[in-house]
Amino acid sequence: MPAPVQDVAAVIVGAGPAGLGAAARLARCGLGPIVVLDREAQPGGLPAQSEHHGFGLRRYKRPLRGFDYAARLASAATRAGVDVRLQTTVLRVTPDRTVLTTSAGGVLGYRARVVILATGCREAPRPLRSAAGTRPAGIYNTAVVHRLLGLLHERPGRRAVVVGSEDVGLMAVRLLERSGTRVAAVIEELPYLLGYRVNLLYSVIPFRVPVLLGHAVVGIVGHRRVEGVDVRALSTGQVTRIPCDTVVFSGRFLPESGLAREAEVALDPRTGGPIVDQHYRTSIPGIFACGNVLHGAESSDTAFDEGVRCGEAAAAYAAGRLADVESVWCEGCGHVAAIVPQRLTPGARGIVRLLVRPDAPLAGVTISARCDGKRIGGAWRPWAMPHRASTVLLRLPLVPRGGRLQIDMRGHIRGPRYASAAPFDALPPQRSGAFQAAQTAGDGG
Amino acid sequence: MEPFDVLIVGAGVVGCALARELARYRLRVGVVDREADVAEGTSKANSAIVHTGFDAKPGSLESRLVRRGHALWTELAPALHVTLERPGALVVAVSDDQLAALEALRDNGRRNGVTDLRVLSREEVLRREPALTCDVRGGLDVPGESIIDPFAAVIAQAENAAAAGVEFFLGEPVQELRAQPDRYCAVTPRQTLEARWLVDAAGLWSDEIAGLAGWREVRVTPRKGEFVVFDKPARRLVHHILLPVPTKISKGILIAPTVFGNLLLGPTAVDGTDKTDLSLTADGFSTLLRAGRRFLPALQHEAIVATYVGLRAVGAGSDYGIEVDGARRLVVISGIRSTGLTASPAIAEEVVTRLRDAGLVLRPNPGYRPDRPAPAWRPGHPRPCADPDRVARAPAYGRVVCLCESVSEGEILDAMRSPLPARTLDGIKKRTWAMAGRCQAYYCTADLLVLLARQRGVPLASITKRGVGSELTTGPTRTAGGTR
Repeated sequence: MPAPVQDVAAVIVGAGPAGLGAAARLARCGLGPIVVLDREAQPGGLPAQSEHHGFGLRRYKRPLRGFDYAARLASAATRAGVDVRLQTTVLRVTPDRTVLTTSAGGVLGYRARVVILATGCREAPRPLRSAAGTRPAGIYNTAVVHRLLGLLHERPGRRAVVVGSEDVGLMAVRLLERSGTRVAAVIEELPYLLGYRVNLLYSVIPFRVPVLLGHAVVGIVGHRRVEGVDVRALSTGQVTRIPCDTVVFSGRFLPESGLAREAEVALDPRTGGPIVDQHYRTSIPGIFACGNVLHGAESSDTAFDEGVRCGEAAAAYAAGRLADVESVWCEGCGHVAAIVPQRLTPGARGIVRLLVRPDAPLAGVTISARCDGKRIGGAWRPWAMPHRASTVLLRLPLVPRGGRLQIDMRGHIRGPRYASAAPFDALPPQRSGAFQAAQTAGDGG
Repeated sequence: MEPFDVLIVGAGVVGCALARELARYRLRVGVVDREADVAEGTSKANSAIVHTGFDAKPGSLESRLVRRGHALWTELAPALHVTLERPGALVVAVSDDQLAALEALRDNGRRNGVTDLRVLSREEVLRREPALTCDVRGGLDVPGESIIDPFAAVIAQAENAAAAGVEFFLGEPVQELRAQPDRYCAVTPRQTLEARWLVDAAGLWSDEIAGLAGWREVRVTPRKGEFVVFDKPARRLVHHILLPVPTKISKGILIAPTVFGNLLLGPTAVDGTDKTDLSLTADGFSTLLRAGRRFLPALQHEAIVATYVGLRAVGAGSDYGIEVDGARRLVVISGIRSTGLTASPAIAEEVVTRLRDAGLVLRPNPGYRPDRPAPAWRPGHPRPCADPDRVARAPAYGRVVCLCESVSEGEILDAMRSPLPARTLDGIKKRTWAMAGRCQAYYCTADLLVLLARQRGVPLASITKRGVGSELTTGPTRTAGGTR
């Protein structure tokens, strides 16, 4: 029996901020049925699983808890007439915009005029970060920790080491400590704290957890359960073993681009996500992509805004109002590691928002956009970090057809300034030196 | 209680194959293993290849049993619904010395009865494998080399045996063996198992079991093999198993497609002394990547999904050690090196023949069936979640738990209800391939914990990765107030 197929105006894969934003915007255009698919039981993506505050500052002008923010986005989409189908897994998206799904209700296909991929991102698992050592129980990502603690109220371990100092890592410290799992240390390879200072002050310092900057995890020991991690101080080369029964790998978000790849959408090796233009069109006509699947983790507001703009563009496409014009590449120069959108369509009017990530932590950053050598826009930032994009606004149509568009990013690489962590066994059982490390670390925020 | 006719110590591929072979007869057979599941030692961490035995030492027991095992797997795999594919292998020579060695290798293969070997020119090799390095000088075509689902290879034989009445005692290390005039008493922490015949199939630990049984000294040392698994897009790079020209120590670092759709690179070969040392070393890792890129330069752009380490059991001699002592009613199987997966059904045949010669009475078991029911999924076949009929009949197949590999709740429940049920997370992984995809259990760990705990009716904190000591969590949080 072949799967039944429904004809709809648009299918959006992923009910996170980007997907819900795009769906709500599309639904306002009266194109026909708009379906959002998500594998989770709750709409809202990552925010729906987060208890902490700080979501939706830009959209709702106040800090909301993750699940409140998610609930607001979901009810806005539902009110707009969007059909949100949960606990539904998308198995395949084909280049002719058929979306095959499965759920307890059965296997169902959708034929859509527009498909929007808003599949988000996930943290790099252990094999991509620290190859050496054994594979015992007790190695998690923060997402697993969130699920264990938030949904199941189950402690992942007794004494944890958090690897990575992005915001998710810092917030995981608070979550773990509050639930009764001590955190032995936060380990960060870079000489700077990556997360915001507010998270350090709120989530790490109150628990006197040391932050070891410029340290790398070089091995995991333990036969059945984790027994410790070997940590190397990059400045001295000294390796220390920190006893713990849990290792939490945090951050280093990678776009979840499996479905895009199978749909034959061209991917950008620099971001790992689909290549899009300013209208969030991928290389396959009628397939769009927005949110963190394009660039890894940005704030949920950023993802939501991208979703809204993507929904707008998708509606224009469905109505035949989005011309198919040759686009030009945004070439990165200097310290540029990745740019989203990767391509711009010259001739269109309006303001384009470029997200630019550097290849190293920079200070005194000048970003400039040049077209055939002539400066057409730019921005200045006091600092820029590799895991977080800087935004540049460009006014179109300053880029002529066939022109060469270069995005240049310059600044001083922030040299290695290692936190003066004492050798680990010289520390009292827990958390002395936290403040010292934190103060040095504070520069990063 | 009536003692076992045969008690097999070790539930690896050799022990399980022997259990299945013995299940054909009216015997009371038991299998005991220290680990919580079958296939937890060398059997779960190998290159997953069914060898032709072309490079074995002619005239050796290993050569004979590998060749026989290769033939047996061809019938066994379909009957047990174990995925076996035959991409064939190319031995790739990248220097003049290696090129010269190919003909010797071909002649060696012929002496082993593998007659379909052919030396290929550089052009022919590159035509078949365009992604290979341009340093290729020539190759040897070995069309019979196959790849297999190494977990199902053990689990299917064990399930088949269990369905025919073989009893499994898992998670029970044999701590003491008492030899009495007519029986052995094997003492585990939970019970004492009595048996007329004892089979030592403990792989890496066969020396200790032989020692406990009072057998003369057996020497087994671990040889570490590290592996790297590449993500599915990498599989397009190769069409055959790519073997280097073997050296005396090892078959060398090979590149092989897997039945799961990944690409495998490994193993290293490092002799050690610690039988519990399953750690990947930074050296081993870089050796592998260097060797891989030397063969397949495009490999450097491919994503790694996992690494694993296995320890091969290397015996004192250069051949398999299979000894049947009729007077003591003891069988010691040792030194079954990396070819054990291939040879296991033939080893089982061999041992049963020798047991019969030593006086074990074998009467056919009328209840024995040589096949097992088809599982809902096996590698190389579509997942049930994509089959509308299946999902309509059983909605659990539509609830996808592991996204990367599209594993449904239905398959997980099947694995927990099989004749040899999965009781650990690794047990579920080996049977369903959940958690083995590119996110490496980022999504599904929590859901799987809940499924396992609910099915077994135990608290979450008693669910383990692979047996006692590898618990995933440590109990409810303070805020949960101790109740859920």
